[in-house]
Amino acid sequence: MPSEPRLSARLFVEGPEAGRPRLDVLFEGDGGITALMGPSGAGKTTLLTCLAGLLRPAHGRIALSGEVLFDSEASIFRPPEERRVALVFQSLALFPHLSVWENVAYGVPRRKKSERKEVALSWLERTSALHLAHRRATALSGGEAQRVAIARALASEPRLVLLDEPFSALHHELRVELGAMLRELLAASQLPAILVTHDAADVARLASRLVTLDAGRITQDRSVSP
Amino acid sequence: MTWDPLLLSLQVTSAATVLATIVGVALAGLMVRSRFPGRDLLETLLTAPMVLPPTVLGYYLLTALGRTSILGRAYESVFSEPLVFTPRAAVIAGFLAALPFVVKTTRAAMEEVDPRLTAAAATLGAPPFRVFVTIVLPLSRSGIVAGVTLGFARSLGDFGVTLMIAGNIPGLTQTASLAIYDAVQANREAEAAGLVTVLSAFAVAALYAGTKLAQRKPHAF
Repeated sequence: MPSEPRLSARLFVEGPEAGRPRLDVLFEGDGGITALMGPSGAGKTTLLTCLAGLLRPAHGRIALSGEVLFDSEASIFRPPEERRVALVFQSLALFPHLSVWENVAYGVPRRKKSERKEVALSWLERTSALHLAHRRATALSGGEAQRVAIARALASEPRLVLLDEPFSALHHELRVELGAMLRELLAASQLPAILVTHDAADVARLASRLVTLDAGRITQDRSVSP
Repeated sequence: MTWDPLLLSLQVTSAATVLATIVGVALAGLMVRSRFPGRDLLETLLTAPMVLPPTVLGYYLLTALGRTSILGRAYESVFSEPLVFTPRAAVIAGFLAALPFVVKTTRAAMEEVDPRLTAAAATLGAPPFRVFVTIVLPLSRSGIVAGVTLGFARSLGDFGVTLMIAGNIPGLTQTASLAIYDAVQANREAEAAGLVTVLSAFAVAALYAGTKLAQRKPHAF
């Protein structure tokens, strides 16, 4: 019997009109970075928010690493804080009232504050952002904020990382540099990731697989060489 | 002129404001974080003291808390003294005067908090109460401060409801605003003017401090 893939998600989300769902997919994945493309309104962000637990699909099932996170038939719905699914928003959503290290430490699953800080600093070091540790999260450039957002997501010890167009506001050189950093960090921790992007170059550089969504359905699913 | 009414006013208003802050922030948080049925009805009821004639509100409270009411008797059996016509009744009047200001401004401020920030906190493993305490509360601080100072100033000046349920007993429940009325009635001009001046100064100072504190935004977006 073939083992279940690391991530298995069957999702149905109603749209405003009957018969035209916002999302109706079966999405499975193991490791590596899966790029998710498609026109705006295709359901990319909806897919991510369902996986993160921020949106409850009308019906379906989500299992991650053998654990059921959502099952409409069994009435299972694990809230986002119990899923260990990190989501990097397009807006990054750094906490404006906290310093950089406090942002990164926020999700570190340790009891003692000193330990959380230590872990946060080590992630900031890995994202080359250690020198920003004591800055306010609002006093960062686009690329700096991006490094902090990635450090914060990874520091929370996720089992799956979701990235919603994280590089869209950056210029080309930074995209390449941060993309390479992200790929290395994910590979080092063997974390599966889903990256929403509009940029075919991102896909070619980073992803091992490309899934295309249109009108809530998967229209293409193929391997690409990273 | 005696300072007793002013001292009593400050004590009553401080207690009322502390209570209104705790209850008001909790209620505003509930209204923002959970969409229970009757949410808008609850806010309407909480806001009613702003527009109801003080005599009407006072009448309700006398009926609900008077010595023959269920609550009044329960209170009396625990504390061996009636609740109405005591300083504690004045605190209840001040609390109800302050509460709508705290709830309304706090709720508005909490609704301004970017939902992506609370969503991000949840995906980082924070349960709803931690999200509320660590993200929602600090980010709505300026609104809470504004509501609390407005509530304090309003509570300090309460007259009608205090008169109805706490009475106007010199040395016991006669707050500054009630003492002004007595002083004017009795032609004690100097005493009235003195109390009016101090009360005005307090109210304006509270509002000014509130405005200044509210401007110290925790973030600069």
